[in-house]
Amino acid sequence: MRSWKKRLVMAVVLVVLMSVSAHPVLKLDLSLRQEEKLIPGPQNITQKTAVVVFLIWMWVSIVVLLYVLRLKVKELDRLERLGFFKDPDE
Amino acid sequence: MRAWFEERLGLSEIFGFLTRKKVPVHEHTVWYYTGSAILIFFLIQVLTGFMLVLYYNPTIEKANASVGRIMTELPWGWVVRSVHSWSASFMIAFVFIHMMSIWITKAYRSPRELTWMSGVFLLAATLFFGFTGYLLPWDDLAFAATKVGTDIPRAIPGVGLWITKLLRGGEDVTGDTLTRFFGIHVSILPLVFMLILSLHVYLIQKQGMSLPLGREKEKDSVREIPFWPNFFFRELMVWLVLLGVLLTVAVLFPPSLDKPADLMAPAPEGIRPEWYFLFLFQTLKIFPAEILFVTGETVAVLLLLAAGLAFFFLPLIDRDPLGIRGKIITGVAYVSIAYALVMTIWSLL
Repeated sequence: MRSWKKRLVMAVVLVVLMSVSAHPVLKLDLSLRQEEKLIPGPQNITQKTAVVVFLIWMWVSIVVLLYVLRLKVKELDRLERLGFFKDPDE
Repeated sequence: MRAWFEERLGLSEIFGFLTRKKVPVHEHTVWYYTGSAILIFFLIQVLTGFMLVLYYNPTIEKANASVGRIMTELPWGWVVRSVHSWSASFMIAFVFIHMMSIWITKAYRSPRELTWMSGVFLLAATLFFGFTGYLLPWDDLAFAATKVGTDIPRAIPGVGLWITKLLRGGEDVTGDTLTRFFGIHVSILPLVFMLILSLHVYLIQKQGMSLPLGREKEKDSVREIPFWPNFFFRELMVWLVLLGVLLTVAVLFPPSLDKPADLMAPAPEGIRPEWYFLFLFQTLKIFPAEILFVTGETVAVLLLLAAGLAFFFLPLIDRDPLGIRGKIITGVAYVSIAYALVMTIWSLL
């Protein structure tokens, strides 16, 4: 079960990475006015790289934080079942 | 240091209250997360709105150019604008989900009628936020869509024309409309929204979390967890995922900007409002030109107004949630969801 979950997370990460690297918004020439329409996007190679790095960093951080928070919630639920948060006056 | 703040702010009382506040755990607990998700998106709207308003210029000569400047000249301006735009869509989507979950689980039943009614006001305010914000880039499509949108109240007998003029600041959509929409979007609506939101949150705290109808009888056996810290950390997990999805979508699909609106130019093809108005737009389109000597638009607008009023007074109409009428009203909720989805898809085809 655990390996199945790991594979799912890996697949999601891969899909995100592929979408990020292939997405037209990240092509540099798109931030110009095309037929009177302004299509935004990264304006230079530095911004393009920054966007990719930021998205990867963000999702890695979110996955790590979710793992930590899940442990925290489990521990809090254990304490709650033990009556740790009960009002002493009750 | 802690004692200094404690003496002045009484933080332990607040945390004490949050610990005493209980959240029931059952099969429908997932819907409880939608309320705080709306708050998170509203907060993002406020923060990104503050950034945008520093550079936006609400005049017909400079509005479009100032948005263009935000997108091309300011560092990461396009991301800020995209987050603002996408966060609005996410917020409205979650308001719809929140309202429909309350309707289906009948969480509006006594004594929570006022909580529902304040929620309907918040829904209306959120939609009005979207409507006023759509015009601000002052491009061709926004101009034409606002013209169509502000023309709809004209179909209401008696006060219709007055409402249209009030919205536009005159006969037509002009620079006055832009200034008016900007003022409403950045000052009047946030103030009204905050006031109603305060009342809504107060009522939720006062009445506590509602149990689904089926669980009401076994109230004492339903497991409850403290809001702080148990439920709060669960919500934090949901917020993180939503924030990640929002930023990813905002970076990959930033909204574009059309050429500045031309007051004299004919309306462009494919005028369409934002996705959350599409079902209303399509409803108005399918009505015939005339029904029994009355224009089809008038009939459609009056029917929509009646539906809106019924939606507002839903807790008063649904007095017997377990009875036949209650079941019919739940059925109407499912039919409404299906209707909105079908109309939206039809409008996009």
